[in-house]
Amino acid sequence: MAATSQVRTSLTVKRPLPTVGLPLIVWHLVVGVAALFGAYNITQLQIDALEKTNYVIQYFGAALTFIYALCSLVAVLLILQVNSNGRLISMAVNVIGFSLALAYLGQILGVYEGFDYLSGGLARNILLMLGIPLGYAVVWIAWRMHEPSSTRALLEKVGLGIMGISLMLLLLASLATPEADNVISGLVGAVLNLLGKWLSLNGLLATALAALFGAGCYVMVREAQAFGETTSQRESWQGWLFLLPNLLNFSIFFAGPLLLSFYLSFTDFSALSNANFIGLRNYSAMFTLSINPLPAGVTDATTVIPTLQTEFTRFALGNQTYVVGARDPLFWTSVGNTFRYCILLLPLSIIPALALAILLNSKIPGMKFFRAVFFLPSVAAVVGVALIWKWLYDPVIGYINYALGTVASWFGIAPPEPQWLTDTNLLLLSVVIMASWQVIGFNTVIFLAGLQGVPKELHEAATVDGANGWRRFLNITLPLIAPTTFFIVVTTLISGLQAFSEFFSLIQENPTNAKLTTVYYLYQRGFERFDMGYASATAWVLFGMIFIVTLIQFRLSGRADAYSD
Amino acid sequence: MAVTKVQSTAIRDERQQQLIWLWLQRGIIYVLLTLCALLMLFPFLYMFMTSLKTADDVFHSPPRLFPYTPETTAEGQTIYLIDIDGVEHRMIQDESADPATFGFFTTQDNINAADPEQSTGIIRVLLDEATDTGQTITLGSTDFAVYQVTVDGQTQELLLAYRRGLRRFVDISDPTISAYSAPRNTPLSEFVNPQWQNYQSVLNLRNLNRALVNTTLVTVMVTAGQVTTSLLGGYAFSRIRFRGRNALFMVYLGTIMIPFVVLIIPLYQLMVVLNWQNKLVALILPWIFTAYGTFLMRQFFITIPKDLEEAAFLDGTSRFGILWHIFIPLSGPAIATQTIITFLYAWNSFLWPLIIINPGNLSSHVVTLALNQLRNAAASEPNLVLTGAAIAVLPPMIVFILAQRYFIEGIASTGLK
Repeated sequence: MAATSQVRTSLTVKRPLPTVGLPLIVWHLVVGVAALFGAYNITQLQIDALEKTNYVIQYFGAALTFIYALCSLVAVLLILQVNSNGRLISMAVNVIGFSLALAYLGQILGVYEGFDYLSGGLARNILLMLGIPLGYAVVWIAWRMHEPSSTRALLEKVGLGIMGISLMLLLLASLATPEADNVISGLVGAVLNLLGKWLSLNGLLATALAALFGAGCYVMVREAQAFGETTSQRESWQGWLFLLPNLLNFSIFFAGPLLLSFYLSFTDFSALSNANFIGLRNYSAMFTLSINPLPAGVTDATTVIPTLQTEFTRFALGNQTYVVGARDPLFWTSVGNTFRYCILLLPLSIIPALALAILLNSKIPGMKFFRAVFFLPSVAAVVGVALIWKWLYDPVIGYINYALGTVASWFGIAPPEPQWLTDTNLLLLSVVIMASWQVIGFNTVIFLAGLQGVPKELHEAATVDGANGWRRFLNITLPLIAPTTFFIVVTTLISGLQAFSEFFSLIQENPTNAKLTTVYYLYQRGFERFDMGYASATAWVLFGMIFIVTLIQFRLSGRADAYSD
Repeated sequence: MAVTKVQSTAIRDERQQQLIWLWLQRGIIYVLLTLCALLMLFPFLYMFMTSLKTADDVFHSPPRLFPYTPETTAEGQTIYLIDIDGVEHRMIQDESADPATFGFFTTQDNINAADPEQSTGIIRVLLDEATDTGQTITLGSTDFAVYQVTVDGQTQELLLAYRRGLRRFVDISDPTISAYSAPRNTPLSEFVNPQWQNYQSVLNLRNLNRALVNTTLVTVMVTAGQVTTSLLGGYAFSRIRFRGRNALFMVYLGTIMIPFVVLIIPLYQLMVVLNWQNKLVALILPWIFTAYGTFLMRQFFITIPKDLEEAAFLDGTSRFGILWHIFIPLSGPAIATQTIITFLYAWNSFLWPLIIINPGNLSSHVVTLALNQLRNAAASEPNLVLTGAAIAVLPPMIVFILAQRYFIEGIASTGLK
């Protein structure tokens, strides 16, 4: 009853158009027409970089602008009817316009290049930065005092003051132009520089646009009553407003590129030529394989492989040798390497992690210290870690061969001297050992969390029943942490499928293709040979592999969870 | 009476046994854990020790951990350690003396025909003091001359295995004590001497100091940006009911699965269009959005009881005011977790900078790039390369150690990196 009466009142009582309605209608008409004009102009654009990425992107941009224009024009109609949805649309149009105008103003004022400028300044005034840790130390001491006292409050203020002042001085000194004699004149120079950019035609235009869009938004927010805003509508626009920074970045730097990447994977786009739509040809080139028997006594495989293909590998089945040909053998090599890497990485990083977690789970003092120590390798950059391991693997002065030699001498065996980073058969193992060392701590922490969820009573009951440690591990611990194990397998697999830095930083000099992983191959195709369409297709194949792994996880994790309940 | 006494001693014994067993168990666990910890830390220890070495010292074989440099006299002469009759003397080369030729003699049974220098029972005598008998003995395919050699007053006939020119060494404190030795095979007097200046010199190599400042700026900006957008987005997803919320949230969750490499080519093109190549902004602005961080914050916010904000809401506090005054003070651990995860991710990121920053551009590169160049630029000086690695690896480690409680517990509870 109540709902119907409300609807009736909102239908029958016609709200008067607020006084700001007329200027807003004019404003939206202007924006709508301008955006329509802009959409047409975008289709006519001849930007170098855009031309290469094909007109589809141009039309995509034009379509977005066209939708924006339509929204502005629809807002005009709805504002005329004093419709509260019209107000929301008007607000959305204004907020988007405001953000774009601000972004454009940032471009004119050089805010984006400003990061490099600021960093240059920071590098010149690095000593001022010391105030920040100094102030922090004072605050830290203050926080260590037990009772709130006047000394504590004073120390805290002094510490924060030191931090604040040194940060401000640092920023001011860094923003000053580097050519100036002193900081003051440098700052004046920097401000004048900025003013000069701002007072240009484009600068003033962007400022005016931002002001107008901002004013439009502000006015609409204030006219809530005039448009009869409901609580849910209020929540709606507030929710979207809170999401705005998130959403802008998401659409510009994530969703947009994602769609574009999907499109590019169906083109022959390269940095050197225009993109043509070629359908599934990238994918077919990647996946085409042929298996042909090799006639007895023939060693040259080219006679049996179809044209356009080259030999990928050969294998024997009984007495018959078969030749596997592929259109892109390197792709298969990289996929093979990636899979072999994952298969080696799984046991080497998971079994030691489980053992460490069990040791740590024995409720001993100092457990947190060891946990942190085991975790330490995974916070270091792979590039830095690879530099260390490169020298540990050194056949002459490296510690690994030294340790092997020492152990061998205990048993009176001749020391093995594996050439870790040059022997093609050992390359993968070298990378896997380094990578396992890095992820063991991470896996240990997750295993430990899983182990701590195993009820103690179960172990106690089993001990009473006479089960020994190993039996209890097999029959209680292992099944109960199955979901954790499964989770670790999946995360390790997903990160293993994307391996790049480990290979690139440890064995980039290796001339063979043993260093190629899928991402490495993508990098080579996309950024060394500039076959960007093909590289996009490779990326989507990789996504497919990850997607399958995740899908299996979703399917099986339900089962694993059921086991633990 | 007597029975209970026996029982109680039995119980006490049993308890004692249990206690001993417990401590034995703990001892074993500690030993194992310490061994594993040493193994895990060894590469870092090696890095740190090597960063303090001279380039020559790094190539010492077999490897040794501590940084040594050879000791010299005030005049700059290298001091050698020479053993004379079981006493170790500190000696320097006598530059004025000519090299003297020594013969290395041994018996026919002891000689190693294939490699005479590996023969056993070698006796070293000045070649001039031995007399050549003129005879030769052929072993294998080598002829060995037979000499008459006087050792300890006894004259023997021995084979000349090989000969060497040796330098004369004199004791630094007593010049009358002298000995002959080959400088290359003589042990040097070395002492532990960390080369702290390596840290100074590597900073100027490949502009590493600028790279450090750049990385710090990028990391701070990305972290601040991600935390801000995640707080706002997480609040909207957890507390505001708006149209399209659930659909959008599902989209966000879906994006967590998408690997970064899928975006890499269009994102590179976008940077080209915006003219952001080779600029730090390319390392900052595209990374401010994080579906995962938004998800993390939302998960944390839904655990905060609603009654806390209701009073404030009735008082007319704005939503932003509620987020600022109620939610943010309560979400210290969540913010700390996200901050440190983002910090590590931003500091260590490699593939994107590798693509977007030109290798020749030394003023806007980051530490991972600088390291990658350092490994090629200073390949003959591993000490400097590892100093660079130490500088790059240290800040994330310090941050981790300072905030490891939040980090590890955050990882353990969410299970994602």
